[in-house]
Amino acid sequence: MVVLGANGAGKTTLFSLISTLLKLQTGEIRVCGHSVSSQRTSALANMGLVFQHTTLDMDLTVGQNLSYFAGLQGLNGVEIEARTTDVVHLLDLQNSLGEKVSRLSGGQRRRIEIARALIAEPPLLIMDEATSSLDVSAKTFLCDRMRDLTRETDTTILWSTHLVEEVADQDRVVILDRGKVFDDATCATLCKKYGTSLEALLLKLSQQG
Amino acid sequence: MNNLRRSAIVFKAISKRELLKFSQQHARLLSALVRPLVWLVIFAAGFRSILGVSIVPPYQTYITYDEYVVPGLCAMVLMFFGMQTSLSMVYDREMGTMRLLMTAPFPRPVLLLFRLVSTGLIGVLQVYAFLGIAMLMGIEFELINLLFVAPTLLLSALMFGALGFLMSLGIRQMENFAGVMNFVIFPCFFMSSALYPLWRIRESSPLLADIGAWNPFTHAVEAIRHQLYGQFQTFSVIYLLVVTVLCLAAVMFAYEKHDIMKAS
Repeated sequence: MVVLGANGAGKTTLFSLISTLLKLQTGEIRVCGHSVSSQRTSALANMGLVFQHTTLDMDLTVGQNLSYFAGLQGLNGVEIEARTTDVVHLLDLQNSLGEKVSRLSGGQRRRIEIARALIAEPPLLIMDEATSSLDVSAKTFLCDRMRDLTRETDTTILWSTHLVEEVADQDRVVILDRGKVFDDATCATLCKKYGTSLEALLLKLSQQG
Repeated sequence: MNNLRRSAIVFKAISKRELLKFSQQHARLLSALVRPLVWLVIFAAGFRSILGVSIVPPYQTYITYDEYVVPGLCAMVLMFFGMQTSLSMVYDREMGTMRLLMTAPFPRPVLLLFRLVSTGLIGVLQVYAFLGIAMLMGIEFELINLLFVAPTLLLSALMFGALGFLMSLGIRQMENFAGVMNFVIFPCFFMSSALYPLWRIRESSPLLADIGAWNPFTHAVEAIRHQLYGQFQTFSVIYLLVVTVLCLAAVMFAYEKHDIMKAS
């Protein structure tokens, strides 16, 4: 599922509300049936988070970063080892485990953050503009891997972006405009409904703003 | 999963990270030892010949000045460590790693407490390293008392860490930190019984002595001093406990009730 919106539409605010970094003033958000306000820890246990800006510890190695986060999720040593093997394989990080994060490229760091978010096998993965600072090849790699992941597992991905080229026809798209849901349908349906491309639709919305 | 087992795993993860980061910061490790040693070797040696300390509890006899300042320097190690902890909280907020901790599926107050305890334990290890060197230089302590003082060292480390956490709430950028250090560390250190007994300060300034008597640093110094000599200073320990709990409660309230990460 893609949350699409121009800059300032409210994507990061939504992400911060779901991830409990911001407190809800009104309304309710439930993740896998758990309220983020009243059942915070249960809700967080069901989601993996990839923040817009890096949250990796630059002083530690890739393996140490993964291990630290897995520990915060409550995984024991055996589970950490098994899950680390799985996620580094998924994101082609086998050769980087011993490397210090500060020595890696932006694309590799982003992959580590996704690996880290997946280490506890959350049913929901939330990515806040995860590809915005990446070059074309790194972006393509991540988009492909994330689509593979949703096909091969039960993981749902909430992909927030302002980049229309990351949206495929069959994706469910929620368009955010100035903090409100403008529309919610598949990409193909939206294009048909408004008789225009998503890009043109976003441009129109931002010009109206 | 059993809550206790889960807590142990989370605590281990946080402690391991703190230890890994600390072990890579060689300058920090070195400065933590050199700073009190400079006071002990240079300052205390200079004052040894001109300043004697009369018999005051817990001492049974006249002592040399360098022996007198060791407990204060232990507290100084812990205070610097506590302030550096607050610096690392600000750094983690700037670098984003604090977001990771705050979105872990575990109660936030417990996560903050775990972080405080894990850094406090590292601070205590530094004090023991300093005490080891002080003993090599001829300051004598009974081994049993070195064990006896451990809980008070940890409590003092927690208090300074909690104070540091509290200060970190008001510091939005690392650049602002140096000024805060100067306004907190030096007044705390000099307006305490670390370098001279409070009754000596009272002779020249009763107001300063009164401030010293309320200063949490004084109580950390006195609790450590008494326990290093096998005595228990109940009032100081209770004072430390109260200050620690109040600071921690304020920090946890701030993280729980307000959008602390909003500005990061």
